[in-house]
Amino acid sequence: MESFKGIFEEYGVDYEGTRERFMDSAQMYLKLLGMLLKDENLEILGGALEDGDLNRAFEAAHTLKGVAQNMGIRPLFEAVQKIVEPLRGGQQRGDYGELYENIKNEFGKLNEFEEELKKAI
Amino acid sequence: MPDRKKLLIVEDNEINRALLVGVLSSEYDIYEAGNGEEALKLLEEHSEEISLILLDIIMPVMDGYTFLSIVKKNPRLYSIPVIVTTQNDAEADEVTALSHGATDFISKPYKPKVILHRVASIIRLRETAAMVNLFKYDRLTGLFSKEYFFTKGRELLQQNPTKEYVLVCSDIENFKLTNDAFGTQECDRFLKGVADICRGLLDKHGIMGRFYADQFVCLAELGHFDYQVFDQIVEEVNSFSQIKNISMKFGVYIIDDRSVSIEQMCDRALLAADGIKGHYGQNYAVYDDVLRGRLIREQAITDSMESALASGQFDIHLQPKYRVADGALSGAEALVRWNHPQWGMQYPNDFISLFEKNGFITTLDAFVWERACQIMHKWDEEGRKPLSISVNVSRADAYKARLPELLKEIVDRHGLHPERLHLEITESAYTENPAQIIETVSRLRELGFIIEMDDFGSGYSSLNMLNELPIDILKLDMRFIQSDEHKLSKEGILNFIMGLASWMNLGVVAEGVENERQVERLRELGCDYVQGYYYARPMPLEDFERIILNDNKAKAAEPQVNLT
Repeated sequence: MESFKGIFEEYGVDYEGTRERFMDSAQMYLKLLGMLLKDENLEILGGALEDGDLNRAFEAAHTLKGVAQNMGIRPLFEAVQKIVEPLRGGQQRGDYGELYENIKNEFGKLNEFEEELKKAI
Repeated sequence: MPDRKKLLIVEDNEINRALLVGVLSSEYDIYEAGNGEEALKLLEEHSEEISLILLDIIMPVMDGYTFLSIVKKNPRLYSIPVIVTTQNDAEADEVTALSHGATDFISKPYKPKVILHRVASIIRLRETAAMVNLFKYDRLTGLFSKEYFFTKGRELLQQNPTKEYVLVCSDIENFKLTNDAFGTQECDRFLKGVADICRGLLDKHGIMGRFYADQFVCLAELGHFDYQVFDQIVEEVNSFSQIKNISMKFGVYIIDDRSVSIEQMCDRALLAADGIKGHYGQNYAVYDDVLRGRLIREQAITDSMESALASGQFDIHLQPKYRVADGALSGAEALVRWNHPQWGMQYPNDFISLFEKNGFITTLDAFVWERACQIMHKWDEEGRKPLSISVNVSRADAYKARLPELLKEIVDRHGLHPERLHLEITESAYTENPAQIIETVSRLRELGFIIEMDDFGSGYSSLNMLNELPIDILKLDMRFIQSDEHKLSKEGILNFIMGLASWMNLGVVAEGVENERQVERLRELGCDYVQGYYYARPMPLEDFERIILNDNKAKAAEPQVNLT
């Protein structure tokens, strides 16, 4: 996974911890990254927020947060975390839309991230 | 190579689940479930194989807590340890999970080394706990083992200082015989059945355990206890088993003295059960003051027996034996007496069975043999008639490998021919382990000893075995015919035994002869020797020596009778 080091740093992904977690397997990381990019929870989060279903939104956000953390992707993690806490408490807020957009952005960056990693193997 | 252990990972998020699988599949085989319902289905099928469950608490369909509760309520599943996976900032989650019965938690982001360690150590802990259960529970019956019963019993009593309890111990008479006759497998089945029956009737308000082979114990509340339960148990036990005529005795100790240890309480209950062994129709006995007195007495005997022997409190009395044909004195039987400084004269009934239980009997027997030989040597020195003395050889002695050498050494040391020391061995000693006894006794006879079978008729000899037994004399207890002289069947037995003895070329000594009529009968039947109260009671040496003297004088006065 050495070859990932530079790319990780570029995207703000935690190299040491992630390397340990994936036991140095670049393949495993890429596989799970692929799964992340197909993950439904982002959409579920968006939909739930639109419907005003805060519980469902919380569950989706909570899952995303855990995954982002496991994948070491700090920017995504921080973006999701900002939405998870208020959702957990069922808070009614006006800025859920904005927070969600941030998350979507971070997600978007992952496509490029994946491309570069694939090249680095 | 040992089989890999199997885990169940319950995690709805594919990525997280894949990560966990990635970490753990290097050491374990994995079952995966995406939600609680799937997980339960997998558990239904594979519960026996799964060593541990990894569970995500936040899940759709069935959330983690619900799943956890279901698992913990299911007797087949509840002992499988569950590690809950949580977010690292959710302490509330962790506490809730633990209180729902989770064994531990690991937080995201996952740390593979930590996960592997935790999983391994929790699996190991659980296996150790399972082993401890082996020591807690008796494997055959599922009841508490002896030590664990004591522990739980103490606990129960401590936690309920004002409630009244009874302790019941049961014992099956002649269980060893049953075991030999029916074999281990059948007996194990039998014991399991007995345990189930007892458990069904006794267990509800107390605890039960199994001690050793056939002893069961139960601690129950007095208020919920009914003495009729014993008859019920005996009835059910006799009807379910192939093995018939089971005699189960119960001893009851009503716990009125909490200062006594639970082990001692069991001793008391067992003592009560012991006391009714052989009492047909009586299934249970309650420990009471009479028994308490006996226990105290037995302890006193045990404490003083060694020093008593050393200080000469034991001695032998001699009961004369006479030849039936001419009434001549032929010898004596040595009977042990204990001249206790405080309690007075103690007779064998007071202490022999206790000594047999605690093993002191072999020491006492050796003393009796020495004393008998000493006396005969003295008579030889004094120029008296070379009478023989018969001594008892207990079951415990009879099974000693070096017995023949030991006895030979004693007679040699006193300058006596082995013939002089008659050895009385009880019939039941033969029936226990015929092969071994036959060997020992054969060697004794080779050395020149004369063997008498004592209490003939009280054991279970087969005719075939009698044929093989290397004995010289049968000792017959007159209780056979003295109680009911009109009963022809009993007379028939006497005839039969005499015939048998004659056919096997054995001498017969009739013991416990109490009147002239018996003597006549015995003379008719050709009995050789008699002893009993009709003639003389056992007496101290000086008195016996006077008898010898008188006998000599009488013989000197009479014309010799030719007996050929």
